[in-house]
Amino acid sequence: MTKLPLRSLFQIIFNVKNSRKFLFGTILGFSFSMAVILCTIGLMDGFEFTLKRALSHASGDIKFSSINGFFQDDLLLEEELKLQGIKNYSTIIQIESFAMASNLSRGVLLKGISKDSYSKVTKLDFKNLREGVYIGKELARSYDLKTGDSIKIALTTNNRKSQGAPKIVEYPIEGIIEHGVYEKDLRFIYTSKTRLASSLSYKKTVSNIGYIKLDNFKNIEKEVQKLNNSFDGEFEFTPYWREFEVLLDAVKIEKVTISLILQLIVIVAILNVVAFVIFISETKSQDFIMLRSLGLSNYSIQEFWFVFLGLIWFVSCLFSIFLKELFSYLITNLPFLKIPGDIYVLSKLEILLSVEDYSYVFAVSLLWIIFIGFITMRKLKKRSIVSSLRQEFS
Amino acid sequence: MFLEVKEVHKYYGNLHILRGIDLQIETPKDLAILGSSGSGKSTLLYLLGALDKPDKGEILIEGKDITKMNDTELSMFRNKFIGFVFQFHFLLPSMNCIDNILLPAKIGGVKLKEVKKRSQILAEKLGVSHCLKKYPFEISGGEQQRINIVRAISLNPNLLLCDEPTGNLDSKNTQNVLSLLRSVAEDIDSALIIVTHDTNVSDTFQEKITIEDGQIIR
Repeated sequence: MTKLPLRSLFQIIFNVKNSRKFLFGTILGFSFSMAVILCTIGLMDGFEFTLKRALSHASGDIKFSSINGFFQDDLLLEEELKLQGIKNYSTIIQIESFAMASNLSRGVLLKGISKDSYSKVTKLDFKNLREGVYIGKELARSYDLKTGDSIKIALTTNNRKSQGAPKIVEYPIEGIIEHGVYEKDLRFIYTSKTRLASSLSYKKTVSNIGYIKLDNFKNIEKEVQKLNNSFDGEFEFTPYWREFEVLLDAVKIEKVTISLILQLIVIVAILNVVAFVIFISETKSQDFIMLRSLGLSNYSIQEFWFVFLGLIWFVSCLFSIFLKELFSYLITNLPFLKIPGDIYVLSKLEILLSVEDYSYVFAVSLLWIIFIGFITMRKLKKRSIVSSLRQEFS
Repeated sequence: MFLEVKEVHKYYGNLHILRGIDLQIETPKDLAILGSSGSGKSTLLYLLGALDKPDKGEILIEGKDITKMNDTELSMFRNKFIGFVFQFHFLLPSMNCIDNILLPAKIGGVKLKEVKKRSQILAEKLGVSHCLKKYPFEISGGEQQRINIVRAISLNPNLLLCDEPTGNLDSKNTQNVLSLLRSVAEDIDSALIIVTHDTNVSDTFQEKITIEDGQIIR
């Protein structure tokens, strides 16, 4: 087999500055297009992961409620849950109300919790919660409130004498809480379950929502199914992401669709690679013809081009990872690039990519480059040495 | 038989360039192929040099039918068996002269040390040993031509093919290059086939053929 060392071929191709510049531009364009796809997929995955993590952080693994609305958190419930292997659970009273401060009013969800059990289930920290409230971070920001201030909350009342008028209760703010989900940070207020029950004239054991934390490595969906079967319709158990399920499904579909559409960018970048191959073939045609006349086979030239295209692909992949990291850093650190939480639900979004995501983007771009490279090679192969010699040296 | 061309035809599109060429050379020797522009002389040279294949006929060099070889075999054949000297003594500008000379050896996977040593001796003989470390643009046209000759014979080819090697030289330099080519071909025991349109050049060869309209007329 006649073959010229790659080093010599690279020496021939890159002795001109224009070739080096063109190559740099080609790699930059190719890697940028891959980085765009990686970032898009990464944002979608990041959204799904961050949202699920935040939801789990704020709600445990499984949420349950009674078909009758309110239920008794008593020994019977405890025993029934224990039978299903549930040790960590917490029941709360959750009501809709209005929070008022700084002459503003906003609809909120007021949650009466037992801080120890609720903290165990959700990992939210309520260590200073006593007679006051913890409010969400975004609510505190929008009302310009801090720990030590107070907030008025309008509660519904069963008192017939007040003819349905709300009961305004002023609570001291004992802490600011962050869920990681924008909506929750803006709407959630926590107080002691005992105090809320007392304000609403409920019994201490009454609850309307429960949260469960499973032991590690348990399949949540399977557990949900098992619990729903065991409680025979008395309670409804749902996974923690159910309230955002539609959004998560939409993101998955969007991820596939956008990845397909963004292939157009890869094709444009691949055309740059083709342009580069043609540019080199034309500007270095005399050199290649001379090498052919000295015994370099067409096969060797094709092999060289494929190795070269492979190198372009490889370097572009590495550079696209760098660009993705750069973009990831920028969106998480530059204030004007931060994701608007009111639109994207989350207060913060990061790019997260799995090995499968990288493999998908890199493999598809490799297929494209092989396909286009193959077509270009076929065109170049059609030129005979003699016709090239006549053309180049006439 | 060293070289045998049997009823070779070549077409370029509708043009019938070679119309049944027959040629036999018993032993390696010098030969001039004379013809006017467009007569088909260069086409015949390229066919002999395995740069192209005829559409019809056979070309046997030392008994091997090169028309039946695939691209890889032809490339290997060119590398081991043929030395080319073109009118435009083309050297790769990205490499210095010694690297240019060593290209056939690198392509053929031949040990560079021996070829380098022999090339230095040849370069000295041709008076271009001082150019070996220089780049083509740093030396004169005549020096480039001689470096080109060193490259063509660096692997001791059996057949040295020259396409108008004196095409852009004056008469004095023409004679110098011709005697140089004869001398190196004799040194390496190689057949020298030269294509020219200049009768003054062909007249210096004992063996010559003339091609007109794709046929050997004498």
